[in-house]
Amino acid sequence: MATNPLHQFEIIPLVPFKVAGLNLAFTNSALLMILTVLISAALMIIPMRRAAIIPGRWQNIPELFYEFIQGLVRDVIGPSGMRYLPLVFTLFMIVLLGNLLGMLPYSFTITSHIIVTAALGVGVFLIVTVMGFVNHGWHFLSLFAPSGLPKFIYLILIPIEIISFLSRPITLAVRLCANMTAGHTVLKVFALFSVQMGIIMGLGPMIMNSMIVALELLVAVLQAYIFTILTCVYLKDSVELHH
Amino acid sequence: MSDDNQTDDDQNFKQRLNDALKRNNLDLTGDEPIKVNETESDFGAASNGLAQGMRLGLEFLSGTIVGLLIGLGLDKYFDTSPWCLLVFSLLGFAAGMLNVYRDINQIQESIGVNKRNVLTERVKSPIQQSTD
Repeated sequence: MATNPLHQFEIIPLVPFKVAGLNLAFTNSALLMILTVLISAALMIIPMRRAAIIPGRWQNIPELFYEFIQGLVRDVIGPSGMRYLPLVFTLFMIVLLGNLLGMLPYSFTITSHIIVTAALGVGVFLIVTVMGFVNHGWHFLSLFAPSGLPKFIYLILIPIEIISFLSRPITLAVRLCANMTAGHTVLKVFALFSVQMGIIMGLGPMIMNSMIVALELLVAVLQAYIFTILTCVYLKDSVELHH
Repeated sequence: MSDDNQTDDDQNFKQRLNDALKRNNLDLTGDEPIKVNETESDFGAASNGLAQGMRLGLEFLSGTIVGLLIGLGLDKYFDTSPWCLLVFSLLGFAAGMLNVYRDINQIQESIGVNKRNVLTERVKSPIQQSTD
């Protein structure tokens, strides 16, 4: 029996596969990632096959998500940020479904592994940097030097701004990963209390656990929202300078 | 006739709208500010307390860690241990503080502290008048 609360984060190879010393096994993490992509795509494509002007019950699902993210992008980045909408929307759906699918019993939370969230965070960071240089050229570097300060201040301020800029992907990655890991570990710890305290006494932790499940559902949605809104805030720098 | 019908419908709609607004304690004609982004700020408020604290702590930590790593890397490259580490860990500390400061500004804006709304203006104006 899995008495280790961290057992749920273990990566298990489902289909072992090795090429030239590289372990390319199809793992539970890969399975959940594929499921995340398939479900998010299905949620968007299937209800929109017969799109009507007056949305039906199923058509409301993609429209709800779309309008939510569209509003977010327009509010945070501005009208010129609408070309980032596909990127932001994809990120939101993947993080949200990755978080929510992890809430199913016996499943695996892909966002609880820092390498997954770090890949997302670094991806966002690279896109901001590249798009900043594409949009503004070398002028993008003025992001690190706010205008209107005494000259000698820049000597300290520019390194600080650069470090602050470089710390963004770390914040993005660690926040999502830590939140998911912490919540799921707490769930397992309380479940173990229940098991060890027997049927009658164990009801206490079980009631507590069911409340934590509700909290975890909130955290799953909230962290996807926070990841998305921070992505938008960072993307804003690549659209317009002088925030 | 169709025109007449429309104005009739219009009147009817306005009547119903006003009734609905009154029922929900919102008055379009009064000076009560209408809360538009209620749902969004509610969503933000749900993450209050612990989550916000964690967020700020993480912002600070990530700045410090990046500064530390840059310092260690430069020391290794130029063989100047420990000087780069000393300088860059301090700069990283400052960058962490900057991150926290920006985050707090953002949180305050989402709550509406920095926003100039009708209520604060109304409170301010008598004071300003008295000092003028």
